[in-house]
Amino acid sequence: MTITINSDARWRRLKRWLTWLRARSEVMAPALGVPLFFMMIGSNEGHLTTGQIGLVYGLAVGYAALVIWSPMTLPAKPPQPFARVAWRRAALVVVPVVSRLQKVL
Amino acid sequence: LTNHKRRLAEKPYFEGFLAHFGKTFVKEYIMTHLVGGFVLLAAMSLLSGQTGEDNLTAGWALLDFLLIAALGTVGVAAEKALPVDLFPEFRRREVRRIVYVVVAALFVDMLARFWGFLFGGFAQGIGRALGEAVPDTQGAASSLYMANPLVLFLNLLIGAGLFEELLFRVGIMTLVWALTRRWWIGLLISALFFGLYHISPLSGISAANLAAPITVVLTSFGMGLATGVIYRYRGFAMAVLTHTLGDWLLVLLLASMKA
Repeated sequence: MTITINSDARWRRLKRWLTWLRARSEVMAPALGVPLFFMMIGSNEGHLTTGQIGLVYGLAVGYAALVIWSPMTLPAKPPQPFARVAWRRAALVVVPVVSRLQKVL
Repeated sequence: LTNHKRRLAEKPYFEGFLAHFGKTFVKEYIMTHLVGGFVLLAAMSLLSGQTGEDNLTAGWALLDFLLIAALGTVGVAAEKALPVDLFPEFRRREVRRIVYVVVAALFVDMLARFWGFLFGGFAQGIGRALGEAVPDTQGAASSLYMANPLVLFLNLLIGAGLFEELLFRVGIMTLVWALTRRWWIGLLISALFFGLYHISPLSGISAANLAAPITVVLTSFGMGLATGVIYRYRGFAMAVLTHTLGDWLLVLLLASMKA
């Protein structure tokens, strides 16, 4: 009689779970961001109203929920070779914006 | 394929370019000038009646413009050669993603500031070991400070957020990433240039920074690394907002401490 251990399936499950966890590691941002924010306010002797504290916690919870429910990664796109059209289109976007904003500053 | 794209594919390269140029030129020109230029210009004028920091002379301001325009163009074009979309908020305009970026930036900038605080301590240690004084960050902050926090935010959004990100993350990091196919090489090089930029006359606060150049370059290098990682994993809009919010909070806090 032979005993077979389905280690492949177990390994795949573990890898899937690790991938799931890694994709949601951004949840650390609200988890650490909230205490850091209050620490910063406290160190400068600032005071927040109950509504403002509620808003900070609300945003953090909403953000954490969004990250857990559906993590936001950058969408993939097919890479294109460098082309003259791409350079000209990029110049058309960047140069007018920078020239206008440069005048503001 | 739409009819327009099919026509482009059938035509020789140069004719295809002209047809494409003609169709998109008006749309892009109006979008960039109206949205990017006049609206912000009007908002700034209405809010403040002032034109922002006057720390740059005309020559340096011109060089700044040329660098941002040239490198920004190079970076936006080079991004097309990468397999990820670094401008998803501008290309897709998904409300969910835009809300996410705004909320996430509030918390991510706290982490970036904390990283900056740790790295700044390390940089100060090295600076002191090399005989440098502690940099006058409060003096630099108060030179940027404006009475109206909203005006300060808009100034930092354009000057620190948009321009610096366009120059270093989009211009240098994306180009090096596209050329070498390794994002971390782009990250290191762009962070190094970002550090050096803060003691160059192109930066509006270089006079205060030159008192302790090694500390400032190392601290800015650390912040360049943090913003570069955010740009790599969450895109341009998130990097701009995180950078702006971080600088804004820092200037407000340091200026209030000095007051």
